[in-house]
Amino acid sequence: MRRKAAGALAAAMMASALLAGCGSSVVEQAQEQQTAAQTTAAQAAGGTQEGSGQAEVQETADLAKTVELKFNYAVGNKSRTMTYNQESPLTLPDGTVVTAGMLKPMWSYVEKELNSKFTDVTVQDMKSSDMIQTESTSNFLGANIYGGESIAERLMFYGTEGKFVNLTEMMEAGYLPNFKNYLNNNPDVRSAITAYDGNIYHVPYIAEINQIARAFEIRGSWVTELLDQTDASYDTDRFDIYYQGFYIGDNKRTGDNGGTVTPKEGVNIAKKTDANIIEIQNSLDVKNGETLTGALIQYINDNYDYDTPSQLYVGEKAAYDIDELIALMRCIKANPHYLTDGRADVVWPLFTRQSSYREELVRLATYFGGVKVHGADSYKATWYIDENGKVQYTYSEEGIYNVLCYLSDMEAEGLIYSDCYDLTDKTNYRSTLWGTDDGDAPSFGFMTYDFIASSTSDSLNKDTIVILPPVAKVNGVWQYYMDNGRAIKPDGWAISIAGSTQEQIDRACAVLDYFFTAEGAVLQNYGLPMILEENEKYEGPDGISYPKFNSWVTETCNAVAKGDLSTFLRDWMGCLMPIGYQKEIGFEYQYTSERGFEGWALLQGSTLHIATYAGEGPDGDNPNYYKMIPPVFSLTSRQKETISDSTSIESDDIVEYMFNIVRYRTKGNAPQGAEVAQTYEEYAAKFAARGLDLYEQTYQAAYDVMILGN
Amino acid sequence: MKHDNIEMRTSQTKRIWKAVVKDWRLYVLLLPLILWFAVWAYKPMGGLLIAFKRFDPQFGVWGSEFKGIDNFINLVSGVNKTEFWQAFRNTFIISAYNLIFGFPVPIILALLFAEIGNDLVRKFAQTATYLPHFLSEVTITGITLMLVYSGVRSSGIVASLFQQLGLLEAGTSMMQKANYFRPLYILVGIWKESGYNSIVYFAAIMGISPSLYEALKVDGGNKFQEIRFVTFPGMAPTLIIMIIMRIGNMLTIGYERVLLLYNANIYVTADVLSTFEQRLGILSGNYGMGAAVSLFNSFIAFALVIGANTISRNISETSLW
Repeated sequence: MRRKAAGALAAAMMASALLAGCGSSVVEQAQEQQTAAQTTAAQAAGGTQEGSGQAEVQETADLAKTVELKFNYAVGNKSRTMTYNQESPLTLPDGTVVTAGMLKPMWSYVEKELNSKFTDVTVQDMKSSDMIQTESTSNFLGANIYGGESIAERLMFYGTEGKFVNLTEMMEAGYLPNFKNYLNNNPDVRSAITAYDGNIYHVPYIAEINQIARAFEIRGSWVTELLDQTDASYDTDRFDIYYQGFYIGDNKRTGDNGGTVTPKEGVNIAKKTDANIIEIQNSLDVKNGETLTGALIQYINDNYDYDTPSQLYVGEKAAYDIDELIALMRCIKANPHYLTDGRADVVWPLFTRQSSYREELVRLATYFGGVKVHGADSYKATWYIDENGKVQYTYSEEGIYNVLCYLSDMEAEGLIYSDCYDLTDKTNYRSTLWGTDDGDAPSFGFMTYDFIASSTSDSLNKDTIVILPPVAKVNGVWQYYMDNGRAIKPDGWAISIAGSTQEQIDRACAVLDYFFTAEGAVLQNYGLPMILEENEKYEGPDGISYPKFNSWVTETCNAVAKGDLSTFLRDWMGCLMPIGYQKEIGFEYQYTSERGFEGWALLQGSTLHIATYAGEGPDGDNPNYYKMIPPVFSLTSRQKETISDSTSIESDDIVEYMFNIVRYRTKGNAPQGAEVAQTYEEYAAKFAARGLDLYEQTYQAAYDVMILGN
Repeated sequence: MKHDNIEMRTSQTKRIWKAVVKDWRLYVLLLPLILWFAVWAYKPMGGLLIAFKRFDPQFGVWGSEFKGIDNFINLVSGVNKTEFWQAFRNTFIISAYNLIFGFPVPIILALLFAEIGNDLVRKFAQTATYLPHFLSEVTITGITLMLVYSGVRSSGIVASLFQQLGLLEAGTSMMQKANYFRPLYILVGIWKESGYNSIVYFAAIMGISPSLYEALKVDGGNKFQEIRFVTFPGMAPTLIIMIIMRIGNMLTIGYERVLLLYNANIYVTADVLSTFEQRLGILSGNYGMGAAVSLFNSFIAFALVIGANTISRNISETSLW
């Protein structure tokens, strides 16, 4: 009996244990917009860009009394929170010592300015999404202000559910006057952050909106060495070709089809024949560094009137198309010994900074006939608006499939750095391929698409320069275009209702509003007044004056952060965090090298257009082509349920599926288990099976509400 | 008749109580275990309800909208069905491999340990094999990934070896090839756990009376005969209990190692129910569906335990109940 009882008990426990397991030019355009945005911000603040006026203090805020506010601001990296988490203390110019566990200097300053007591209750290494999920179970009771990265959609959602303070109502009641003015002057921002119920619940991080985000940067000397040297001893190792060209057949580049392009006002570059360099290179009997490069030089001389062949790519007269770029990449790839003085057997023409940036490769889509892919500087921005005003999902389109196939050909030719696709590899390729030239184990890369300031940094490589993008027929018009504008980020913060008293809500509104005052904007963008030159401004290449860092910043930054100003300001000072504020470009200018400025000037002096929220550009097939749409939409509870239960488009393996085409389609070496779509029908079927129609319908409904509400 | 039944039940209850009172010390020892199960196994079971709901954390388990068996239907026939059945298949295959290749190794190790005559050498060998068990999965998988890494600039020692043997293209990561995942997973598991798992078998061997070995020797038996006729029969109850438990755990593959080793390109062989559940439930925020995967998993595991126990009871004298 006893054995039976014990056996039954054991069986029940085992069963329960099992069950329990469940549980005009772009830059003018951008400058105008930037200036307008800054002016409106300054106006909103009651002052000017120079900050000559005092910030307008919200009428309803009573700063006489000290109010305690708790912040839960998670970004998945303890160095980036409000709390100082460096091992070594930091001594500020006034002698104040900041040690681990204290608030970072910027936050201590704001705390005093707003007569508040700030407590950072963030679990320091926690990811934003995890934080929001966890805190939603307690109705956001644990803090007054919640914030982080890529959580805008959730802040909007929980706002509509009554968990966060309705900022629209607060603004109507006289709170947040500076933010309100900012929104009045920036309706695109208002539109992007308005939830489906017509209200605003969070204050977003707005990157240098309507500015150029990234650009093409190359090793400048390689192009001149390759194309302009008369007695070069090129490599003669065999080169295998796969890419067949884009401007071929009926799409030959000649006459009206890109025969003459205008990189700069008053500068017209004409291509004399309809010859295609890819076809020329492909028809060579012997393909190696010497023959491929010889053919390219001959082609440039036959088709263009440049002083030197390299001008096709470098400088303000650049007029290369995607085929000419790929032809150049081939020459780079085929001449490793020549280009590196024998130090390398292999060089990599194209790479991304790291594998998590691999989607940048797909941005080349723009230059294959203007195919849309991301628009905004966010990989979550996978929508565009077609000529009928409907939102379209870019990843599933035939144009993208074709681009992936072209990239696959490039991959097969060895033009793309092979490690770029492997997300398990966390290496910074830009540092290794550009920054190790003089090291013991040098690696050599040629070109990337990245931010100008950091990519042209002297400390990285003094040979890197910015070039114009390939010229292409974009939206039916031959032009220079980058479908990549700085965006309203899906980051920001909101005020909890359950966790706050009315007094705390009032003060939290004052905090959120403060960063839209001139003083607050300077603090978050540049830092404390004590680290800025008192009577000196920094004159940016855009003609705008910005606060200027003093020598303490440079010295301390060099000492503690290896000269990385961005990291220093974020991790030591508490600035430039993705909280709700408008980021300025002035900080970036101040750590840009001379070559970086030359790059800015090149782009600013050109006819380049970029994607913007206003969506202005040359008239073409689609009037909405140039318009960026926000990376996140406000979805209702039902819409979220539909996406979650009936679609699986937002799955990480879909991007892997896309990159499988790049990696394996042309070479045909897909490992067992890797799905590689051989035709567009096969590719489209994958998306259809994952509920694409429903996915698009749901987002169309959300977009319609967003448009109607504004 | 009714009266007789009541009387019989009363006497049964009395007998149980009598047994409990008699051996109360043993039951006190059982108490912490019962508490553990009550807190960690029974209490959370209420949470299983979310498998039948559209769970929203802000409304809690009870407040969330009831959906009946929608989550289950969606799982097996909806938009995620391919991934679900793929994960289901992988779970079975990996578990089966684990059973076939992973189960015997600790037994062999225990047999080998038992044959080491020098105590010092045996203890050293045992300690050396136990050690990986005490390293975290993160460390173990980190070492593994380093060994099999193959990039443009460098390669791990195992990847280099494979390249030399012509089994791997230069620059191709083994972790991007689906066919390497399962062997790697099993080998890492054997490396990490076989030493530690051998303890129980070693204890079983130590419990066999030496007189049996002596008797066999007297009868002229050799070493293999010792193992076959004395050691194995002596270990049989332990072996059977362990194998039933392994079968019960067939669908509860430790997701940590899979999660740390896999990537989207090798889901075809690597994605198991627990990782699928993690992606669907935690990362996509579809908690109800995630719980449905888990509950489905548990029911199958439950059936397997019952089945294994029944078979064992029918073909041998040993069973869990």
